[in-house]
Parts: sequence; structure tokens; C-alpha cells
Amino acid sequence: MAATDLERFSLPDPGCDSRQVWPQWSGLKQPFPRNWRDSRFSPVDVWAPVQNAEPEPRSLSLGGHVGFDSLPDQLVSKSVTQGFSFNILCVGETGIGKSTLMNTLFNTTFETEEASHHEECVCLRPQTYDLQESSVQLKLTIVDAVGFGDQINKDESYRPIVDYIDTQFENYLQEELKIRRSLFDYHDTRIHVCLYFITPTGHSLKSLDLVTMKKLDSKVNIIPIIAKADTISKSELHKFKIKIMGELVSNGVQIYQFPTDDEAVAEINAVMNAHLPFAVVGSTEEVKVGNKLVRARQYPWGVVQVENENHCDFVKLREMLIRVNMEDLREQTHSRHYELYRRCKLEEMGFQDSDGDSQPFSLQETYEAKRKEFLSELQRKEEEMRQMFVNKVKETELELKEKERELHEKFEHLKRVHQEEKRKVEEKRRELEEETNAFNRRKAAVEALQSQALHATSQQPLRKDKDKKNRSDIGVQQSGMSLSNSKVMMTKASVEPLNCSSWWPAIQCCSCLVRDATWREGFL
Amino acid sequence: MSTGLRYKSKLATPEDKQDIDKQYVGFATLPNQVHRKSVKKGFDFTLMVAGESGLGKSTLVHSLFLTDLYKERKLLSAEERISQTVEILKHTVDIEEKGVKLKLTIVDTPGFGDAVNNSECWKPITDYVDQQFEQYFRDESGLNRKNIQDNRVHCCLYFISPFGHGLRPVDVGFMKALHEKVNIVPLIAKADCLVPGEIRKLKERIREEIDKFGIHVYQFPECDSDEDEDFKQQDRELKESAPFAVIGSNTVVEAKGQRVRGRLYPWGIVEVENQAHCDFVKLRNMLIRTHMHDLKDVTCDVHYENYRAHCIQQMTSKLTQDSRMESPIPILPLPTPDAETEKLIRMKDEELRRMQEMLQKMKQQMQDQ
Repeated sequence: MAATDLERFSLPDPGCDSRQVWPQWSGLKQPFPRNWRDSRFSPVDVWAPVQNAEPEPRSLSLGGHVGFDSLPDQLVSKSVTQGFSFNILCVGETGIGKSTLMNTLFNTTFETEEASHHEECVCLRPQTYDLQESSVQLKLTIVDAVGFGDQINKDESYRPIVDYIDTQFENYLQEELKIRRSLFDYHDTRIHVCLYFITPTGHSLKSLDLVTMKKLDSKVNIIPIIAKADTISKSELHKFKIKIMGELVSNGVQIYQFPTDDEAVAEINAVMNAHLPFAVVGSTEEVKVGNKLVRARQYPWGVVQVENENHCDFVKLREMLIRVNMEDLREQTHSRHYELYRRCKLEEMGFQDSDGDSQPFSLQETYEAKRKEFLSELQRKEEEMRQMFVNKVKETELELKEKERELHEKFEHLKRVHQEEKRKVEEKRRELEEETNAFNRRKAAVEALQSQALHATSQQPLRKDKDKKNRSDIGVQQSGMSLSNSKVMMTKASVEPLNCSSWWPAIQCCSCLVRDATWREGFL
Repeated sequence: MSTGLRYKSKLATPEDKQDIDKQYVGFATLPNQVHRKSVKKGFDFTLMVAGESGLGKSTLVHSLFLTDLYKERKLLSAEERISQTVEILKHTVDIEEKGVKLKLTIVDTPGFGDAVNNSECWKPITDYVDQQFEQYFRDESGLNRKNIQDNRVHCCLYFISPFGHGLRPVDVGFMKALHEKVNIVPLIAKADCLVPGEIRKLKERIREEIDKFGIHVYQFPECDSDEDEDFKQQDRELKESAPFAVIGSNTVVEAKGQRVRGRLYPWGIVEVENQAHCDFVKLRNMLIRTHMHDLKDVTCDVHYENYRAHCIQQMTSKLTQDSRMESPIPILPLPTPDAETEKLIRMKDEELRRMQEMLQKMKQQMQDQ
């Protein structure tokens, strides 16, 4: 390769305006990338020819002071009037010192009550405060994971935290997708940083810590902190930090690295990165040391000063978290974690950046298509259900008809049987009548003979008595006759005389019935 | 003061000897004889340490007995601990002091409370304690009882984390599972992270919660009324400072010109044996110098007897159950009507009903006509 080619391939220094050196940049559709030194941009990509490049803007020198160098100041004053919002999530065991550290960091007392160890599950409690420091307003939200690490079974401890973070992202996404949106006014509740409090065991991370941090590292900026660090001596602390970082790296947990690209803070950030995780001590009580009051913890063997760099890393944490990188944390949350969430969510819903023909899909078209699909689906389901309903109705109708028919048949059958019986009984009655008639005739004949015989022998005055007697005799005889006749009748009717005694007293056999003369009434 | 010295009788002077000999029976020397015999026999003591890892259990044991029991110890990383089960490790050492031999067994429980899901993580420990009881029970009921090895756990030191506000659910679960089997002595571990005010508050909190949850920790025995005043004072102080807030150290540092056991911090030196710094001295005195034998007695007389009674009860109830199954008297079933007669009865009922219906019909017809 010629020397001139090599020159073309070398990267220019950061100081000069890249648009002058590489005119191709100005034609790119994307905004100027932040990390153009990033290895993702290989020289080949950079030199790819871009069609429809606009003519490069010429750079001119100014004759005098115009004044647009106040642009950053305008930006700053606008954001100051708007106010800032910052959301911190504190995750750690109960009693590890989260609230105390917050009080120490922000030099105030946030009203929080002590949590109990016997919570059923992890719940997140957000609380928002308005702070002000020399005309800069800060809307600070502190979210506490209450009950973390207390349960006996901690398999699901991470889930409420992840759900909370996702919900905040979801709310922001919904706001973004609205038709009438007011993003400048929106209270951003997305978590900007998660302070993870590690118990100072001196050996290594706990298993719960590892599992939780793995779940959180792709959703939020994690800064691990060693809490209650006044229980570890210096040598133990050094070993402990190395062990922790080693474990995090070997398990692929991505914690937040302080940015080293902005050269104003690159150096200090690089130094601080080496001190992670910070070993902090929190205290809101003041102790007299020397001749001034400092925040410290008073032990029988000494005084641990919170702001003494020798004693703990509190000053480093405050520096990094608040004074230097707060804005970067917000930006990372928005550009990295939120964008990741948004992309996953929209892909789930079926949106793509471009379909097969590389025609950019508009949101609207996709939305319409989806809506149509959904409606047709709905209609189809309705039809199905209606069909099913009609079928069921038909079936039930048929069944009912069947049953009706059956009942009808039964009724007919019974009626016929009834008729049969009636006929039989009628026949028997007629027979019975004939017999009684025959019997009466015979009786009459016998009486006639008898009376004749009597008449021949007896006189008339006795007639009345005889008549009376005869009548009573006849009455007696009649009943006697009828009794024996009943037996005849019964045999004729082929009704068996049943043995009444072994029966249920409610039933009477035929002879008893006859005795009661209920039968006879029917005949006479 | 050590109780061993108190029973040494005073040597009588030669003049008094004759006078004393007349009234002196001599059984006042019994304690000396006991002393001699026990020194010859030697003592044994089993101590269990339990608590989450990283609370300083091994360091404390090292400080208590001034020997290094954990020479090769493998500490697991966080990843390996996610689903770790509890193991039971026994370390036995023979130590001697002034002619008194002690066979000390430390039962360690690595993995307790380390996994993400700690449900019933105390089960291996309760099983181990029961096993030791069972073994002793069997040995005691055996024929040759000359050399019974007493492996029963005499005391359990339970380490409570100082980073919380009191007892945690896993602490409560463990103590409730073991309080009827072992003497539990709760300790607040790593007490050098608490200022004196916080220690007081935490102790009160823990005492309250122990009462609330109904946990029976080891109670120091009441001292007799004829003891001297400072002994009583000591005893009172002991009782008031339970649970002990301890700090352990296996390094010796230079403090005020003296070499002491302690921990070196940029802001000061914590001395382990300084009563103003922590309760380590109280724990050591209680555990080794004054109450060791009482712990053994309570284990033998209370916990072991409970276990034994429970065991025997179970065995006898099982025996009676078994015997019921194989009794020689056959239990006859109740005379239930068998199928044949039932069918007959049913048939007769049917007939009856039919007859009745027919009669009713005929009656009706007659009446109609």
C-alpha cells in the first residue's frame, strides 16, 4: 500500500473537527456517534461511500464575537429551571444500613421506619423528596426493597425488583407512544442507579447477591457497595474486594463502570473504577474529633469518621455518585437500558425496523394490519361460538322430542292395560249379576213351594206373624245364604282366600272384607 | 474463681489432729477423691457451632480454645453456594491443661443458611443430634457398658448476625427445631460493628423475640444462697448480658505496649479479652470455666431423658399396634345378612306391594260402580 493510503486510514486526533477531515460523516443519516473511537466502527465502515451526500458545509472564521458560545449556558439555565430528577434503588438485607447511608449521602433525614425481618415477600417502597441546593432543584426518589434476604426461601426475591423496574420503563414507553404526549413535563420514574449492599462477611458474595445481580445487570446501572465496612480490617478488605470483583467477572455480571471517555473526568473515573466496590460506613451522629464535630461512629476503641478517606470509601462514593456522574447515570439509563427494554417490547408486539423488501415500515401501517387481523380473529371466534350454540340447541330439542314420544307411548300402553282390566271386571260383574238373578229365581221358586206347603197346613191369622217371622227368617237365611254364597262367589271369582293373620294389619283379606259387608253394598 | 479450688479441704495442723480425729469421720475428703478420679479419667465435651457463613464461627472457636482446628478449610464461592446443602463436620482434639485432659469435639455445620432456598436447612443438624442420642441409647441398653463413647452434643453456640434488627426467620426456625434437643447459647457475632448503645438495643430486641417465639435457650442455673457476694454478682452480670456480643480474633497485635489478641483498625484496636469491648471473656468463663459441667448435666438429665422417654413410648405403641394384627383370637365379622336371605326378603316385599295395588284398584272400581 502506498504511504498516502495509510494516511487516509489513520484516525485523526480528537481535537479537530472530524467533519472537516472526513467529509463522508456529514452525509450520514445517523447522528454523530458518541463513541466514534469505538472499535465497532472499523475503518472500512467509515469509508463506505454514501450516496446523495450533501455538499460539505464550509467552515468560516468569524470576524468578531457573535455570542453563540453561550449556548451551553442557555441549556444549563433551562435545565436548572426545569429541575432534575434522580431515582435510586437500594437493595440489601434488612438492617444493613441503607436508610442511614441515604441520610448520610444527602446530609438530611429521610423519614423511614425500621423494617421488620418477618415480611412475607419483597416489596418495593418508593418515596419522593424535593431537595434544593444553591438554586438547583432535585426531585429525588429513593426506592427501598423491603424484606429482601429475610425469607427462608429466597428463590423469588429478585422478581418484585425486576417487575418494578420494568413497570417504570413501561410507563415511560406508554408516555412516549401517546398521541398527545408531554415528555418535558413527565416525571421520570425510571431507576437511574441501583446501589447493591453487600454484607461484610469477609469471604465472598452471598449466593443471593449473585443471583440477584445477574438478573438486574441488564436493566439498571448497578453499583455494588460493601456496607458496615467498619467490621473489616484493611487487609481483609483488600482480599474481600478482589474476591468480589473476581466473582462478578467470572459470572458475567455487568456492573456500572464510570465513564472514561470524557477527558475531563476520565482520569478520576479510572482511578475510582479500581476501588470498586466501595466500602462505606454511614452515620448521622456527630462526634467531636479534635476540635470540630464530624459525622462518625464512636466505639470504645476508637472513632470511625465517615468522611475520612483512610477509614472508609464514603467520600469516593459521594464523589462518584453525585458530584461527577449523576448525569451520566441518567443518560445510560435512557440510552442503554431503556432502549433495550423498548426494543424487546416492541419486537414482542411484532414491530420491526424493516420488512423483507427493506421498505421501512411505518408504525401506522403495522398497527392497522394488526388491528384488522385481530378483528377478523374476533369475528371468526364469534361465528364458531354461535354455531356451537345452535348445534347444542338442536340436540336438546331432539332429545326432548324423544322423551315426549316415549312418555306418550307409555301413557297409551297404560291406558290400554286399564281398559283391559275394566273390561275383565265388567265381565265378572255381569256373571255375578246373572248368578244372583239365577239364585233369586231359584229362591223365589223355593219360597213359592214353601209358602204353598205352609199355606196348605197353616191358618190365615198366623199369616202376619209368619210373614214377619218369614221375613226375619228370610233375612237371617239370606245373610246365612249370603255368607255361604260369598264363598261360592269367591271361588267363582277365583280369588284365593288368603291367610290374614300373617299379613300386615292394614290389609284385610277378602273374607274379612266380605264380613264387613263392604263388598255387598256394591251388588245391592 | 474456679469452683475446683473451692472444695479443697484445709489441711489440719498436727495439734488439732488428735482432737479432730475423735470427732472427724472423714467424708469431707470426698470432693478430693472425686477430683482425683475425674482427673485420671479425663473429660469430654462436644460443642456445636451453627450460623450463616462469614459470621466468624471458626475464628471464635480458635480464640476460645487457642488452637487452630481448621487447618485446611475450603471456602466455597458464591456460585457454588446457590444450592448448597448443609454438611456436618466433626473435629476432635485432645487438649491438656495442668494435668486435666479434655477431649474436645467441635461439630461444624458449613452450608447452613447459605443457599438461596433455605427451607428446612436445619434438618441435617437435628438428624445428627438425634443420631447421637440414639447411639448412646443403644449403647446404654447394651450388655457391655464399659466403654460408652459419649458423642452427644452438649452445647450449641448459635451465631446471630449483627447486621439486622433482631432474629431472622431462619434463626427462629433453627432454634425452634433444636431447643428441645440441645442447650442453645445464642451469640451476637462480629460485635465490632455495633456501638455500645446499639448492642444494648439489639440484645433487648433478641431477648424479646426469644420470649415471643417461645424458644427455650440454655438458662444459667441459679446460684445457691450461701455463695459469696461477688460470685452472686458475677452470676447476675452473666445473666443480664445474655446473649453475648462476641468478637473473635486469631491474630495478636500490639496495644499499649502489650501483645493482645485483637483486631487492628485504622481507628483503633479492638481487644478480644477486654470486657469493655466485648463479652468474649464472659462467654469463655461461662462455657469453659464455670458452666461446662452444668451443660453436660442438662444434656444428660433433660434432653437425653426426653429423647429416651419419647423413644420408648414410640416403641411400645408400635409394639401394641403390631400385636393387634397377629392376635390369636380371630375377630369375627358382625352377623350381617347374607345375599340369599336379602333377595328373598326383597321378593316378598315386591309381592306384597303388588297385591296391595291390585286390591286398591279393585276397591276403587267397585266403589265407582
